[in-house]
Amino acid sequence: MDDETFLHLTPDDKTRLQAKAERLTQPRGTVILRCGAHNDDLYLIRDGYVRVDLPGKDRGITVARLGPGQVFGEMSFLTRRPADANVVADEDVKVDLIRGTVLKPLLESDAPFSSRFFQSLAVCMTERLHRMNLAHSGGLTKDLAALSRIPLDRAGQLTDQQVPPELVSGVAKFKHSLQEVRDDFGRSSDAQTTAQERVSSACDDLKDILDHFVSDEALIELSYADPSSFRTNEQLAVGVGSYVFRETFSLFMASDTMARCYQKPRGGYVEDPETLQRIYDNDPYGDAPLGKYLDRWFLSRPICQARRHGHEWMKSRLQQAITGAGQSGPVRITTLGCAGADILFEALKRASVPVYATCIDFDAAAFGIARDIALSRSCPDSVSFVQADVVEMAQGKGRVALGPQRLIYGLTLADYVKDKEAQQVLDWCAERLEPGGSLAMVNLAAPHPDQAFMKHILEWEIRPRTEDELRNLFAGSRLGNHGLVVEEDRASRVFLAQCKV
Amino acid sequence: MDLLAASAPATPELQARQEFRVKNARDLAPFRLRGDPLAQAVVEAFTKRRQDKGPKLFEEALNRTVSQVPDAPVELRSLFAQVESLPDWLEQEQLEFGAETYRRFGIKGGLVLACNALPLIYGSPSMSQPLLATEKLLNLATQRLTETGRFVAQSCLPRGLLPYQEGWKFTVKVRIRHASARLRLAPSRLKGWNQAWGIPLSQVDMAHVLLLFSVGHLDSLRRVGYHVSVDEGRAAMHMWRYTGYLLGIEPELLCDTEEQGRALLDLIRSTDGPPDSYSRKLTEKLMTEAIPATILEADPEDQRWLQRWRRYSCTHFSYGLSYALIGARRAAQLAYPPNWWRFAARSVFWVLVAPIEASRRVSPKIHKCVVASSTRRIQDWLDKHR
Repeated sequence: MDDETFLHLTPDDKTRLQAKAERLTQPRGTVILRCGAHNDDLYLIRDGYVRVDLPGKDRGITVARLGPGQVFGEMSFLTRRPADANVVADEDVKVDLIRGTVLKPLLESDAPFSSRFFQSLAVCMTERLHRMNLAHSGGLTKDLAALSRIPLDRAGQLTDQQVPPELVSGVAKFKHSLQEVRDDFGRSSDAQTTAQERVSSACDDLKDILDHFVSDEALIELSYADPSSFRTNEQLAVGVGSYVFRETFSLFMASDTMARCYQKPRGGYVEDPETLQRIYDNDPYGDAPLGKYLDRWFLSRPICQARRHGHEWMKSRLQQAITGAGQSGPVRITTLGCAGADILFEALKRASVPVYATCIDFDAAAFGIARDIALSRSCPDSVSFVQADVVEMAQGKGRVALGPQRLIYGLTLADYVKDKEAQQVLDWCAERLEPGGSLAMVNLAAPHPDQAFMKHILEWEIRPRTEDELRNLFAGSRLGNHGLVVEEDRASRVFLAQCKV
Repeated sequence: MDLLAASAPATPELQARQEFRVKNARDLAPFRLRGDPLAQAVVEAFTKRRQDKGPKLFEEALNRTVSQVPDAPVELRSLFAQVESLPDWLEQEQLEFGAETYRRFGIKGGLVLACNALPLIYGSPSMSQPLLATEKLLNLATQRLTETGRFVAQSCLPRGLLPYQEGWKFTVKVRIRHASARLRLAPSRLKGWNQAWGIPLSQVDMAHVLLLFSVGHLDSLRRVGYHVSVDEGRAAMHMWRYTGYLLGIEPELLCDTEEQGRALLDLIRSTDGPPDSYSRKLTEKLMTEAIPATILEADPEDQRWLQRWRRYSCTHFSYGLSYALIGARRAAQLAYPPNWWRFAARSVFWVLVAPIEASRRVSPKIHKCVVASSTRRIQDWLDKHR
């Protein structure tokens, strides 16, 4: 009996309780405690994991995951109200069932034991409440939404003297080039054959101009153009980016992918499963006449290539993790973020050993999408979707019980968290990997050629890293550098990192 | 408002700082890491406001006094509280006498300043790099020289440095501009920045410039024939000490006598790096474009060949004069082209200056005429270069 749950019970108390317990084994998927059911019993997990699922429209969204030594059913036991969540065996699980009909007489007949018992439950529930409060005090990963929006005012960062004539003419040239392509559609029948090349070339030139004018050198020159303008380099950069944004917005928003990246329909996060799927599909689409061409240009950019490359690489890591288990399952795998859920479903379908998969994300809407993908691939119950903020968990603000993992992976998380938080996540992962297990991570490489365009035109902010910075991240964490292998794809400017413990 | 009465008595701590003398590199080192917190706070406060508000508030405060600007942020009020209050060591008569001494040197004095102080400033890599953070900033050489000229000229006009006079306003503007530049010129943004130089536009850099404009300039003026008496030298140093106070230079780095100034200047120069490629580019632009554009009064009706010849002559004379003032070693480091003016420029200057100096010293009337004439010329130059 775990000390964490029954802190104030003496060893004798625990022995007495154990003697009264019924040992149950529940196979994976069993609903051990049903929402709405009247419950007088306590359940203590001895082995394996259960998930606590909220009912209603958030079907199948897990709000907690409990493991060995933890108790459930205590709330309905104490309040005598029906259970307000389903508790489902997420793996084959062994529980000690302590029936109310057995426990209550024990409590009534032994006041000191009763006092210790209720004190233990009170402490356990207080701890849970404390963790919930911490979790709601300001989620860091949730603040990623804020990262995806420029925090400074768009307007009022550049004075008239500071707008560079070369920027103005460059943007005008871009608009003129696209207008010419549009006009040629009407005039010439072969216009479509050259349209993509012309559109891509114009977009590349515009991107280069933007990159140049948000560089440090150019910003210093801008600042000298009007010494009485009290603006930092960051503000001036936003001023430049905003100028290009205003002048080109209507053109770029004809591209389906770029419009979605800008719009961020899922609560402010760019890389929701649907957006990523469009990038993986690489099937250009947009509003006529130029939307498709602009979309194709964007889908060919390093950022999209990086996502596709990372996706394929992660598939192979996942496959290795599952087949590497041989015949000795089960294999536990966790994805940090729903971005990695679709490859998990594919891998699960082909797995010949039991796989206990967990997907941790704070975005309930993303879960809904991921769950639909799971349904469409006929594997709806193979993955546990746990709603939690990974960074908060890594900081001890929330708790998700996970067994030793063969593989933990993140397709996009590293591109959004600061170094300190990233190291906390690495430490958290290190504690949850089984011997020989791995963490696999994708991180965009710095300097990233699309960073300025993404930030200023799509309001999509990323944190790419150099190889040294990435290695230092691992070196400073409990994972260390020894088992770390970093591959770089130079074309798409992405690092693919796998660290084995 | 009687600002002349607003002298702040020095606290014991301030007194101690004023009396402290920086004697060695270790004493100097902390000042390389310090900027100007009062002015920096103003600039940072302005970055948080709408783009047009900051400059507007600042101009209003300069022109109407800060007490009449209700929206002035607390940071601006703190800065103005300092620059409005006269330090207790300031002697008004000395200030005026120092200004008059500098006026006397006139436009020729300005050429000496440009040929001595500026190449030595550009020759300091910790100062040349922020000035030339990008190649395009070379094009600002003429504008920078004109502004330097205006700064010195307005400071030495009668009562120019008293609160809310033109020289005072210009100096406070320069201070804010330095703070604004510090905001943008983080060392990480400057290629080749050496951490040993501290931060761009540090207290040491500002003191270095002030000393070159004060004791450095006085010494070079003497070398080209000007007579600067002990009293005049002391008054000039007093004027520059007050200018340094307005610019936010810390009391430990402000000197009241030429001897103190020379010692500190030598110390700073001994801890400085040698000129680099930025230094050479800046100096070349100064000599070939900025000085001719600023000194020569171009007549558009002149023939083009005449204009070119005048610029060419001015450039070579300036190189020669500068060579004589900064010395052969520094001139070689700054890649001065060889020309025969280096042997003759100083003598030519002497010939132009010495007779007037000799007459002025024996006749108070001539002295007065010289001062009045120089003052008029400076005023005319200022009017032309607004």
